[in-house]
Amino acid sequence: MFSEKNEFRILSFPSLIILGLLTVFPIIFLFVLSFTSWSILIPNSFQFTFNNYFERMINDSKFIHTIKVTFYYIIVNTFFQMVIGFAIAFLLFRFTKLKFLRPIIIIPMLVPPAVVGLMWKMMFIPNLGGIDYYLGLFNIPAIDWLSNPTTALIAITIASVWEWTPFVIIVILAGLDSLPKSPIESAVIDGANTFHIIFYIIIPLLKPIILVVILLRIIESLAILPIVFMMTGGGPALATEAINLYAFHVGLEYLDIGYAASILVAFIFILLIFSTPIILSSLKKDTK
Amino acid sequence: MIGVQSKSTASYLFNYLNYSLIFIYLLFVIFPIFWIALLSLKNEVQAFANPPLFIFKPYFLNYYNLFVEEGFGKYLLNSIIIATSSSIICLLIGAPTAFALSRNQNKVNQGILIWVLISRMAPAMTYVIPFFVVFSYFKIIDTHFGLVITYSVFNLPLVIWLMRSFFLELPSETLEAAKIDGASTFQIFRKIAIPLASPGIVSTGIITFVVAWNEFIFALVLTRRHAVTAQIGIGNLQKFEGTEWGQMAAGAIVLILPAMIIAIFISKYFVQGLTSGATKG
Repeated sequence: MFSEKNEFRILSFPSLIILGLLTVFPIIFLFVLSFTSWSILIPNSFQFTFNNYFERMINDSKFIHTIKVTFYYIIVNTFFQMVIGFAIAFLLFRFTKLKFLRPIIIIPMLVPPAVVGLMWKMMFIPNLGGIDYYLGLFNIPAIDWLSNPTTALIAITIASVWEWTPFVIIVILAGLDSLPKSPIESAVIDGANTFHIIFYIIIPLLKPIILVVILLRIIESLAILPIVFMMTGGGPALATEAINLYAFHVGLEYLDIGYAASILVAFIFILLIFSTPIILSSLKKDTK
Repeated sequence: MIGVQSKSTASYLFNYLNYSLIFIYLLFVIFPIFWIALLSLKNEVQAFANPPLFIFKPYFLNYYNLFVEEGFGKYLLNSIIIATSSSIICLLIGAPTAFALSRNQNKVNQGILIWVLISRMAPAMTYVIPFFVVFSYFKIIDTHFGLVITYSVFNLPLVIWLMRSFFLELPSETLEAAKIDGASTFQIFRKIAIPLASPGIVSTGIITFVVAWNEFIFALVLTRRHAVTAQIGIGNLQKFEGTEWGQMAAGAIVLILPAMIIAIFISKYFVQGLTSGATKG
């Protein structure tokens, strides 16, 4: 029959072909499209014009704005998810009696993102959501959260923290559970307090896992779409529109495919800028 | 353990503070779901009452209208068909690859694994426009078939990565013994590896189902009317002439329930799959 090596090849052949066709090809196609002036609305516009989309992007104030919004999401959303997630994971690790809470904590992660967006939209609608009522109890005046640029961004951050903090908690908890017990125990005997243990023992030991989680969170925050789409649709007046949603609007609503493709190429570069340092530093860890 | 139980007042206070932090976080997790569940049982007047009502005559018409007038059942059915068939296809294609990659570790396979991982991490938005163009050309926009293909492809890396980590955990002596007895790799895979790794297959299946069920961007772009999934269907309840918030809340609850069931009854499988993927990756 077959040699062992060929058997392995046969087993892995189908999925590698499919993956190759359907992941590499679209990206190449995207680059090709970004060199055309194709707009579905204009007949016969599929031509390789090598349009200087770069110039158009730099002069497109909407595009520049969406980049700023994207950076806001990457930095603020990831920061709060990580800090809250780490704190709760540590507390759950410390109080082993609370193990039964773990299933409840992962619920938000399983709720469909579109539903998360709609749910929080309803929560922030005056009177309907009740958030204003409870803030009113602390004498905070009622505002229409989603129609003010600043508060709309805050609302989206709250929704994304609600949805994705559980992921951070679960992965960090798994990391904490797999830590060797002896360094922590000897530190306790030597009289270290909780903060010393967290910052000098746990964080250095967990560094590889923390890096992976940060990387995944950054990619997810960069690609934030369903929550924004459902909560504000990018508004008020583009205030919450990230680069992702902008490409969607340009390409699939105004059908300006060429320009949308070049925005997505820019998007891929931003992704690489953020993720390469983290991937490199976690690879370095492996080779040591 | 870390918490040395010294009985000083300060440590009581510290514990008290920590418990209340967890309590506040739980409140933050539960409160919106609780609120939407209440909302789904209120009529328009009750929903906008100020101060909010907690005791009221429940209004079940929201659920009735959601399914009868808005035809939400069809969207749900679409979601179930698409998520189930794509998960099955994904497992059928992905598991053999994962097995081959777990048994045969060399430089090429390391490269393949990293490529698989990267293609998983690339945001869906970068693929949407090429898919849209090609699917329009082949006229498979708004079909179940189109979405099933899409989800099978995009869950394939996840399946390969997760299943590989489950296959790596199998006792290698058993597999080696079968090999010495003259079993071919296919036989080892089908008769030994699959039965031994069945908990892993279950948890991978659940995760791919959830990912396909929750997917939004492809469903938004690649469906119009016929193959609309529940995620897009619930968004269509927002209308220019005014949204029935009660109905939307009812839809949200219908879609949250499976998540809660998965979380409470099979969270062990889910967490196991997720963390084995993340920590060994």
